[in-house]
Amino acid sequence: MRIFLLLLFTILLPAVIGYPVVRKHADPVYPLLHSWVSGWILLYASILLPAEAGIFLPLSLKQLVLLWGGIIGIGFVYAVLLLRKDGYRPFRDLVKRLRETTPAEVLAMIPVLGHAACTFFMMHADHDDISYVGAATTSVDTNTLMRFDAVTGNLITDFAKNDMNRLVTAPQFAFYAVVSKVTRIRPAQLCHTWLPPVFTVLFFAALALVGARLFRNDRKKTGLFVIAAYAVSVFSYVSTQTAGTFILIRSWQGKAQVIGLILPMVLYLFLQIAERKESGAGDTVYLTLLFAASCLLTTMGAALTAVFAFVLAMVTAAVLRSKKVLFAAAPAFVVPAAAAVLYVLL
Amino acid sequence: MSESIALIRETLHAAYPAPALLIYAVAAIVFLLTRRKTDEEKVLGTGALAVLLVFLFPPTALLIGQRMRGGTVYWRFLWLLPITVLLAYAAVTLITEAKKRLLRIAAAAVFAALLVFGGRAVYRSDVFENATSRDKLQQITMTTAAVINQHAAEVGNPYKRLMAPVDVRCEIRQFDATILSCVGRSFHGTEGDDSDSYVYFNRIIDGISPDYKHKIRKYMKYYESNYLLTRTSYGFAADLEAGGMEKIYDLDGWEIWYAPKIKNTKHADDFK
Repeated sequence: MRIFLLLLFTILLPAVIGYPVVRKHADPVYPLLHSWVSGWILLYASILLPAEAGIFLPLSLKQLVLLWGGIIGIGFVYAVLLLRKDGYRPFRDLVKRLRETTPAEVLAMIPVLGHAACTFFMMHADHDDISYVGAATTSVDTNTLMRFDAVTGNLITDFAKNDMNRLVTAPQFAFYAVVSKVTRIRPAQLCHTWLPPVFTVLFFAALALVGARLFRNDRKKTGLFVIAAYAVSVFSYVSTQTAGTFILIRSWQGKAQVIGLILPMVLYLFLQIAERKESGAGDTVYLTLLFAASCLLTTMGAALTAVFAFVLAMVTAAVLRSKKVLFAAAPAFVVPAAAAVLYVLL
Repeated sequence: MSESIALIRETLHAAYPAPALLIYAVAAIVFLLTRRKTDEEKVLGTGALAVLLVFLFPPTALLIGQRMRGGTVYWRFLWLLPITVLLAYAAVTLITEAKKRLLRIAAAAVFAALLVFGGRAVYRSDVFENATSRDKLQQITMTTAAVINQHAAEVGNPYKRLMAPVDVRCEIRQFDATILSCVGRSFHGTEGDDSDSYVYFNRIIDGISPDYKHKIRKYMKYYESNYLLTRTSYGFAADLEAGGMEKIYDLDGWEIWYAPKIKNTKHADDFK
């Protein structure tokens, strides 16, 4: 039952709630994949404010589960209504698209699923997990949010003086705590065993979407691109600090999620804009969600994603010779600006 | 200015001690910028170049590296350089645009060789090991938690604060957050000054320092840790017993000790 709940949470739920976000500009090659990846971004973005409210008000973990569950529930119903209106198109087309799968795409799945299996059966220990996983376990075992220090278990009396204060501005632990509470799977098992295979597929799905845009819907070349990207990641272990290393060995940590999910999807967004030769409110919303998700995942996520998006916005505007790209992107920067203010205040 | 340049150099060396992948990425950027076939290629190539230039720009290093979190995290900026996408795209483009089949195979072989000889594979025994449980934590961590919980229930004392080697200390609260730990990520010496460093503390706990005998009980008293995980090979059992501690577990080279006289005074109100 727990695993069934987890599968619902990690596969079906994001695939459905991501639909409204991508509906207008769904990826022409992988619309369901686009919906699933965007659903994950929406899950992260949507828990940011409830988690912050939970930390400061404060709320119990159970209250956060109910609050966020309500928000996601409303989003799910809205998404289902939209899907129904559109005749469940992405799901109906899935069989047709699967029939059109190229040998290169099938080959690409082998190393990706192989690594997913590796993350399930093998282990990689990291001391940083006392923050990510320890904070989630503390929340689950005490039914609180950032009330007790993740490392010592002592009561936190002043966020500013606490060693874990960066978890206040980047409360990814709250997401794991909620999933753990709902599925009744302990946070350590969730982060180290059950979620890494999902994240592996998620990261390479994001890369596949980027590849589909770069190769303009050529599925064979996209499949080869994913294989090549996997190879580059595998041979990136020249240090523990490279992006390729992070997404393969520490996928559950916020930093890896920014590298593997957020940054590629920022690139994907601007590649899409470059291809469409136009931008609009939908792009503003998507970029806002990306910023919110990155703020949740790691303290530096806000800054890194903002710099990346700023650079790409300027470049895309120059390539298209259109200031509209900048006007579409600008409002979204409120999110990292607010995160920076909170960081400075703490 | 020289500090910023030094920071950039140190960051590059730390993140890419073997710089081949960076060199390949620069080559891919040049390839994209000379092609500029599609707007998407222009966005990727120019965007990557812009990120690289911003990273190498000394004022950026000064701002991010020194004014913000510090020079220790400037390497994270390199994550913005989409090396994986650049290399993969350049490789697939060159391979698939080769006219003859033999050329395509040769191009693929060259790409593979460049990665193998320029990079380092992640599938190694010091990176991945066989998991012994779904928690993916050391067995001693889970055993320690079970022993402490059972003992605490037997003696009727809900206060459980563990002092242990750093590996177990970083894992115990991932497994069971009802067990408290002795120190956080910042460290304050028992003398109230900086004479005790975190490294020294860990050397004590790991039994490496000869000061273990008189320091360990002092640390336990200061941090009000009533449980100690230590190795049998340290050979300090007699000293711990002389200090009034009781051994509650002894197996596979590990010992867990209980200090009945240590009480929770500093954090007694935490759970009220």
